[in-house]
Amino acid sequence: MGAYILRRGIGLGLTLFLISVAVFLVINVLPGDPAQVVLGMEADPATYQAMRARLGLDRPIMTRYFDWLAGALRGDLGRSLQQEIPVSELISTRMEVTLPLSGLAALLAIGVSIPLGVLTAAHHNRIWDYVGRFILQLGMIIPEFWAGIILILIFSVRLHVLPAGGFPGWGEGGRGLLALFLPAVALSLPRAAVLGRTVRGAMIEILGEEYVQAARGKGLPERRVLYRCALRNALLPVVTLSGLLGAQLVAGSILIENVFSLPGVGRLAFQAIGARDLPLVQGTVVVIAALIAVLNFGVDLTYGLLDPRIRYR
Amino acid sequence: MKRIDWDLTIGAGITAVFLFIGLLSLVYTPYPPNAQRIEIRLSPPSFAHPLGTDQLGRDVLSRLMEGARHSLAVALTAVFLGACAGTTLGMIAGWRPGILDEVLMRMVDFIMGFPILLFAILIAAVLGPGMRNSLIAIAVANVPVFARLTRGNLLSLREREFVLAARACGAGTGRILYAHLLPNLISPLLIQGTISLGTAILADAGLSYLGLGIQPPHPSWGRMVYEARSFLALDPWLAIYPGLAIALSILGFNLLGDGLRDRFDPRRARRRARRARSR
Repeated sequence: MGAYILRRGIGLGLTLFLISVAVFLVINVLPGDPAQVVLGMEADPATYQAMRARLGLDRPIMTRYFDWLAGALRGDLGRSLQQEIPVSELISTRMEVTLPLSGLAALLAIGVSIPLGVLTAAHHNRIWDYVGRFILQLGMIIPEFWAGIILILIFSVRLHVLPAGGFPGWGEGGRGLLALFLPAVALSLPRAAVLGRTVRGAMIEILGEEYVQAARGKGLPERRVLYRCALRNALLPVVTLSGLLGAQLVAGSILIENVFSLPGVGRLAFQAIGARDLPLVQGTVVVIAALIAVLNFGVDLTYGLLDPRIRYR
Repeated sequence: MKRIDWDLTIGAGITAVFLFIGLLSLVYTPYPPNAQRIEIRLSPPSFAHPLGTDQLGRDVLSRLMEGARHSLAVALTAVFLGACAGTTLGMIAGWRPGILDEVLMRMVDFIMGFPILLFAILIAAVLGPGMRNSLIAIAVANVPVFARLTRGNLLSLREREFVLAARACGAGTGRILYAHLLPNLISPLLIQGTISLGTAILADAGLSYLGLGIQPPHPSWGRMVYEARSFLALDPWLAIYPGLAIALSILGFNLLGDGLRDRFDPRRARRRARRARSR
């Protein structure tokens, strides 16, 4: 296991390095002068030179990259141009919304998809299977932002039971959680659909195996066969998928935070484009991408723990 | 008795309707999609405006039709470009396993882990928002799946006798890859392409919701949902129509892709036959 962790750890380090290079290159090498982007067209030459110095553009690109990298490793991602606050500070306060939102959505997705997957597999090609598959198909085709709008329409505009957006902060505990509920539901829908399909597929395959027949043969109640014997084995593909789903959750929160006007990292990144705040764009994108990489690392480790074969590949 | 392949039929039907509407919007829409008549703003469906009008008095049906065209154009172009690049990379990687293969596949994995939305934000920050830039992001996001698919299939194909025969006849690497191997790769690529089109429409809708796609006044489904958000209490249908259009068009591509895979993927076909027997 130790060698496996080490190997994955090196992979993680490599990915993080690639992320930093890729993001830095896109911002600095793509056509378009960052100082010009920040200032717009009207800046006079003196202002322009000052901004170039402020962004460090007067130094060679390699120096700039390594300075930025050294800063990033210490947790210093530079200062936001617009708000004059360290980028890392802005991001860490916004994480207080994004992380609970993604976590809640993940819980909802798992909580809905596993029973649904088991149900449809247990009733393979009967009425509950068709109903369940219809629901799963809906989740695949409905865009999350539209799901959010429809939820607002039903629960806020019509029924007045849940807030349509905004975030009151964690100070009042319950209200903060309430504000995240609809966004989390919208965010979880597409993921629940993908997970549900995977669970269903794996369950159908496993329910045909001999050891399941044996369990049934010795008279175990069907519920126990489904949840104890079959589901445990069907969860392995779910773990594989969860890394990808985690990435989608974090990325999807960019959209959902904008739909519900939540002050999260995704909204911060989006606002940074509008404000042409390049250090902030760079910082948020790197942090989100790094978060996803770390998540994948965690999934790999879990997988290695659950399935010893994978460690020797 | 021959069973009707419902997935394939319904999927192809929906897709055909959307393609037709998109093409039709080039020559005919009931009203010019951007013509504003403020005196009839937010009017309910009527004979003159079957889906009503929006907050500026523009005909919703006409805008949906032109939105279909933009959405399909972005999806088709992006998937095509991504597929070409991905297939080429996959062929290079799969032809001769080694250092190059390792490096290319690592890069592909890396792109796969990088969400489209994040990439689009990065590009929009530097190049500005717009249809071309969202198209680039979606195309890049499509590269990995095609590269992996091509490489995987190529690894098994390259050991087959007909490759050896072609080589014996004096064919060069390029000729073997493009004239002998590519035709054998086409059908899984087409199936994946169909599924990717659905994903691309979804991505384009999300980007245009955020205002990173095609710019106003041109209509896009995603942006129409965004604009309708302010009028949810007054006129909820304004938000419902474009969302339905997105969902239905994705459904069409998904069903078509699933149907094609069931029919043409030999592994799936065998599984299907087994299922049919056991029934």
